[in-house]
Amino acid sequence: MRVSIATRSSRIASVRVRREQGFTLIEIVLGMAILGLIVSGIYAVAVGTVQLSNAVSESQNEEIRLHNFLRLLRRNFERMPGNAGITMLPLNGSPPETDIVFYNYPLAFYWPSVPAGSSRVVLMSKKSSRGTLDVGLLYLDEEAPEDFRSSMGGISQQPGLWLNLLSDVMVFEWSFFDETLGDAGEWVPLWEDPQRRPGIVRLELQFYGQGLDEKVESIFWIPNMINPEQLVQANSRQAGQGGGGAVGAGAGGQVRPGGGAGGGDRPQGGGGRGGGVGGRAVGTPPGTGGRGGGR
Amino acid sequence: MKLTLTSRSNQSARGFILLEAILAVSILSVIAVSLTVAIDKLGAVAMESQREMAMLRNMETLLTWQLRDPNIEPRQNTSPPDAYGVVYESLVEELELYNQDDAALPEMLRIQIRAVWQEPSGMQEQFVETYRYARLYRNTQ
Repeated sequence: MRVSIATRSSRIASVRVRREQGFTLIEIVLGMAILGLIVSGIYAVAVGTVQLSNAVSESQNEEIRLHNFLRLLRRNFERMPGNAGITMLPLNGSPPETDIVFYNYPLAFYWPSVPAGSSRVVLMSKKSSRGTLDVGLLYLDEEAPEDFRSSMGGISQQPGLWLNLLSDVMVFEWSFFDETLGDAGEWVPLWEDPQRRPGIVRLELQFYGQGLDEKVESIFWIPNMINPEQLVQANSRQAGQGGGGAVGAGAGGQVRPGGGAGGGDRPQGGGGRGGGVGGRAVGTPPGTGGRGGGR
Repeated sequence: MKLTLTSRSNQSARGFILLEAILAVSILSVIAVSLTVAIDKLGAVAMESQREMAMLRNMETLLTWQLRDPNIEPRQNTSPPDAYGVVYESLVEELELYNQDDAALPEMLRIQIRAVWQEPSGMQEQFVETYRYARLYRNTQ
């Protein structure tokens, strides 16, 4: 009986000792392995979430930037005053750089932080140090040279105020719809005559990178408007000659600015003859009237 | 005394029962699935928002062209799917339109630009529509 009691008490002591000695190595290793699995799973999910949200945010920023850029272009094309002109002359390079020059449009791309009144505003794409294209605005004043590209260097050597709008652009190509070409008009890559305005302008744009890697096409409309200079000249001719011819010239210019521009472009070259023909043209279709005024 | 000690020592050494393990794993699974669904929805919402902006931009461009094209005539064009899987259909058709004196207005056209895309719930579409006089921007020179 004594022996039995002693054996029992030693077992109880053994259990107490085992309970107080802590975890075994295998338990700790197993626990750490499970904990590691859980933590790595959580980490992977967290990293994935952060990467996804970054990608989404970056992609949305690009889309919003593009959207706003195109709205800015649309607003400025559609608000071109009647006497404003536009040119795009050929440039060399790969990727091709472009210069869209707005003449007589002092409020082009104007907002409060940018001083208005530039004699020329250039919507320019130029090659960056990374080999991609930067797209921005160059505000030129009267003293800026005609060949402003040749005087361009670093940021401190710009011939005017430079405002960067887009970076990492791969394709930035313009085309202009010239309705006087062919039977139904044609798209041309250059527009060299500032006295005529294209009615429709198309921009093809493509970015480097993962987000907007598809080519984006956007079409802008330039409204035909009467040139106020022509109107003033017509009015002054009317006042000087007292004839109805000036009315014809004005009407021609209003309905067909492209055709009517002929009369205003060469006001010194036979104003009386132009006015006379224009006067006859009052009763003729608008297009014919405008062309007649130009002769 | 003996019974009590034996019971305590058995309880401390027995580990988790199957039900506890299953419960823990199922709770973890629910959390993981919820996180995955939330991330998936975040991506889907972002994709939808970008598709909406791209659609708006493309439809505006197509509408501008159809509205200003000097040589417009009844026609129907369908574009290949874009990066978001959206197909754009441009429809120009003749329109019978009368003024308040019941006189027919000639050469009026209806322009409709449709964006069509597939979603799990089925085909979706958005469209913009306007009217135009065919000769409005025609070159008369």
